[in-house]
Amino acid sequence: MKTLFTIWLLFSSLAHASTLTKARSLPEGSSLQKFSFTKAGVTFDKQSNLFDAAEDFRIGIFKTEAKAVELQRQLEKIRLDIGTADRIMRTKNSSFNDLSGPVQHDDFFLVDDFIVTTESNQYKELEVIFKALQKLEWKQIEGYQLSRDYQKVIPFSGGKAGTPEAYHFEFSCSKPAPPAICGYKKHGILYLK
Amino acid sequence: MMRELTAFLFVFLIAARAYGSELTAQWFCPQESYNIQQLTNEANVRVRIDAAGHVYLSPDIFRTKGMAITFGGNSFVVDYDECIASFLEDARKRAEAYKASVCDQSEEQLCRLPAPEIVEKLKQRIESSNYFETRKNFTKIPALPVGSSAIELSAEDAKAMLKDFCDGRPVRTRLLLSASVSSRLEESGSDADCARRYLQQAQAQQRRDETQLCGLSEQRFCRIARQKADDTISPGKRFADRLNPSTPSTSGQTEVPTTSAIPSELENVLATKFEQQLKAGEANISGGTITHEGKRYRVSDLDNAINQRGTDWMNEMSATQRRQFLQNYLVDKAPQIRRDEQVLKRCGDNPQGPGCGEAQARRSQVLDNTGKMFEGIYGNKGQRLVEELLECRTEDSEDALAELLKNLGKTNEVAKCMDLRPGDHRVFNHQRNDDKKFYETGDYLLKRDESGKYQAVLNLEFSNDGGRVSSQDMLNRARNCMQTINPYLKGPNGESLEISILTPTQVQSLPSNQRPNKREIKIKPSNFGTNASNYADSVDCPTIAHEVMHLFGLCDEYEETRSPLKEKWNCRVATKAPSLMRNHQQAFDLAIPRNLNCHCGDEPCRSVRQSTKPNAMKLYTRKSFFDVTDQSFRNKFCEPVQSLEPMELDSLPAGDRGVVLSSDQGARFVIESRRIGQDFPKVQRQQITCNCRGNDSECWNGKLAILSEARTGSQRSSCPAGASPLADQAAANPQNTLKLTTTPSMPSLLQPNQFEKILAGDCPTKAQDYQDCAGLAYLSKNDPRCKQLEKCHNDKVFLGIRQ
Repeated sequence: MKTLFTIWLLFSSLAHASTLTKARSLPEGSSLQKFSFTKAGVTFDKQSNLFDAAEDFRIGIFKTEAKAVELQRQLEKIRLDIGTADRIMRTKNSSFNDLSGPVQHDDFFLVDDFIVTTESNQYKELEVIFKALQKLEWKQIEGYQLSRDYQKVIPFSGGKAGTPEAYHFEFSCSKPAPPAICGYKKHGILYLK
Repeated sequence: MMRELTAFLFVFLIAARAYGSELTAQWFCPQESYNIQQLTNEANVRVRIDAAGHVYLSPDIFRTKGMAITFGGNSFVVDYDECIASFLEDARKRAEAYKASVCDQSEEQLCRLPAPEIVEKLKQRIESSNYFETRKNFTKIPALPVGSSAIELSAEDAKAMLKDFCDGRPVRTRLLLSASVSSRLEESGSDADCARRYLQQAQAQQRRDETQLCGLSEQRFCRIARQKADDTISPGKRFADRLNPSTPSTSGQTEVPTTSAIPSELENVLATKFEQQLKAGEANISGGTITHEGKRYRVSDLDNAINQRGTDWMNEMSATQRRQFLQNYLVDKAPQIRRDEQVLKRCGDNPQGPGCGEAQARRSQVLDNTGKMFEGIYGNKGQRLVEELLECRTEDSEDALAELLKNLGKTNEVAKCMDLRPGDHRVFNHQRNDDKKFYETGDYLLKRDESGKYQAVLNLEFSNDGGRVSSQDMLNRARNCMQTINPYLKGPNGESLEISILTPTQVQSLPSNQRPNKREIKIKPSNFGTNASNYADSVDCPTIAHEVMHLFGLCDEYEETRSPLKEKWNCRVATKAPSLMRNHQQAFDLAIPRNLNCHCGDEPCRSVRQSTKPNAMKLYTRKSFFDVTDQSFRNKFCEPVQSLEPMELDSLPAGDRGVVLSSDQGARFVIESRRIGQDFPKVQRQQITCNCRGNDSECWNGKLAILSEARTGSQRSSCPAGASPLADQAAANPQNTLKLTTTPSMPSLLQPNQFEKILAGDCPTKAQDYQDCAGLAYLSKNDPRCKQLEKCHNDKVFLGIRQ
């Protein structure tokens, strides 16, 4: 019976939906990219292109057909270790997050709600997982896409592209011309060179 | 069982609320074990702290006690540190005595001697010892005999306790640190595994005690305490060593079982190497590894070394590093912890089962090391002592003792909170023992020159990491920036502050007690978002100023709006007044006057330059809607611009304004933004409609800024479109040059409390409102601390603004 309980515990914790978020908080706007593993699949909430490996002018919610099982397993292994550390700290009225920080204007990861700073041993592992997730084939569901000449913006809703609209650079960006930080309505920000 | 007769307890009740205030101590005179309720034989001592930190102790107490003859003179000087050390030692003994006597035993054994007899015994002891120096002016407080042997156990009890321990039953840890137990380890028939586990726990307790004791004490006392504890457990250690002669002795330190695959000799080598790197500031906390002879080892595997030297290591680390070190240790250990938990679950009631002892030892060691590191991070020693005392709470109030410990801590802070006098200096090297803050006071030297001016010195090392600017150029840029802002760093009472940036090499030429720790800053590509440790190669002065202020402990004040950061940090108070830490560009514009020469590069600029229309120059050099709002505001709350028909300048109402309010329906308002363009003397006009829905403070604050600009109009702080700044004023051609002069409206680039915080450094009692509010910057609204600080939403409280 004990063994069964242990197995159930193990699986129930592994089945827990996990998220991996990379973020940086800046005065001109916070950047974050968040991957969520759910029963329905993996989603990508991209609120900034700051962490993009390649030039990409899309901001919003994305989905993928890929399962990313191995990446999820790696992420959950890290989350399990962090959770164990958190459990130990909670016996001392503290927590894993109490040991993290400060993160002013610095990159950091969130594994579910756990803050992993660049100084953490897990940061590099998470960076590898994060980059692998970025490389998956992503289909845009919500948000917008800016044309490469910065003249047009295509809104996305329900997985469908809307009618292209004129993009008012000076209105939408921090400066009248690039390089600038730009936005569109309440969606995330683009760093434009 | 023979108990040592007298254990003296003295508890100082310190009313040292302020420097130089009176300090009252109560002197209890118990004997043997005791209970506070029964301690009637007490008297008050009055002491005064003078400027040098000494305490003058009134002799009245001794007369009251009939002991004046012992002390002779009327007054004597007390060494304050010694007072604290003595108190702490006694507090520890008291905790032990509570556990051993009050909690475990009946009250018949407690002190019940009548007061005169207690006094007589005390007098005899003092007279027969050299507790006090015989000269008139005493320099040290008497080291009163405090008996730790109150926890002496009988042979039977000690052996029974050891058997319980070996069988895995719970044992009071503090009793392990007792000579009577240690010396009976051999007789108890313990096996090697148990003997080593016993020593591990005894040693851990010993180190914990030392940490507590040494936290507020001087070195000499620590040495004595360490020696005492070593002596206490040495019989057990000798026995354990005999059981396994192959284990090398480590200079009086008790060996503990090795839980990793690293041999102990190698572990010592690695630990020493790590220690050296730590001291040199080169240790890799983040990587958590150490390389030796081409191989990499995890620092978290050096369990024995962490157990023995962890406290020393933590003393070499900043507060952030300590937290990170513990976090890395725990995560590295997590798989092993889970495995051991499974084993121990299986062991159940059979602790002798296969692997059970090892799993228990490993688990104990991790928990012990964690506890030790935890204390290194949150080491509020006084508070912990109180907690220990309260474990065996009796009916009497412990408030007095708690108050005492609190005041002891406060008094210790007096030195670091003293105002700098002209000629004084102080070095802040990261806050230590600071509880759970996500912002920190950095490393800097604060000096005050003879004229009263403050100078803050940073030790910065720039290095290139993909940027297109050399480290020397970035250093020069940062220094130039400091030169720009220094004249505008003013305190609320007109104080001046100058920030200087030195390189690590230059810092070495400062006196050794004036060297701030080094801070590394990497230079990144221009698209990198600058932070305090990484500058984009395109970073400008307002941004550098913002980042430098983080190094002095100032927190961000802009609203965090993005999920999930919003949920994590939505307790942060977004200030409303202009502030370098919320909108650095705006603060710069408002605080730093500029004399700009702009070269007219296009026709509109030249036309305006030559125009006789008075409003032309005003409109051309005034702010537009795009200067008073940022892209976030425009994208979130406004609809894209609609172009209006250009109008002749002369026919424009309020023709000198770049921003005009067309209509205002509260949440929804319409703005006309104007600028001079190619069709001058006609004026280009754009209409923007904005809508503040709900209580979004970002929107309403933005609206206030727009309305203010529409009402008064203000000059741009940069050259308008079509003109470019001239670096070389001498090269300016008057015909083609536009002169812009801005008049600052802020008296200082720093708000009053920001200035006070920089002067306060890590003093917790100064700039208290700012520190309270800054502590919210990285908290969630769900955090209980968030609810208590409603005051921070008032800029007068947070920033100390005066209007």
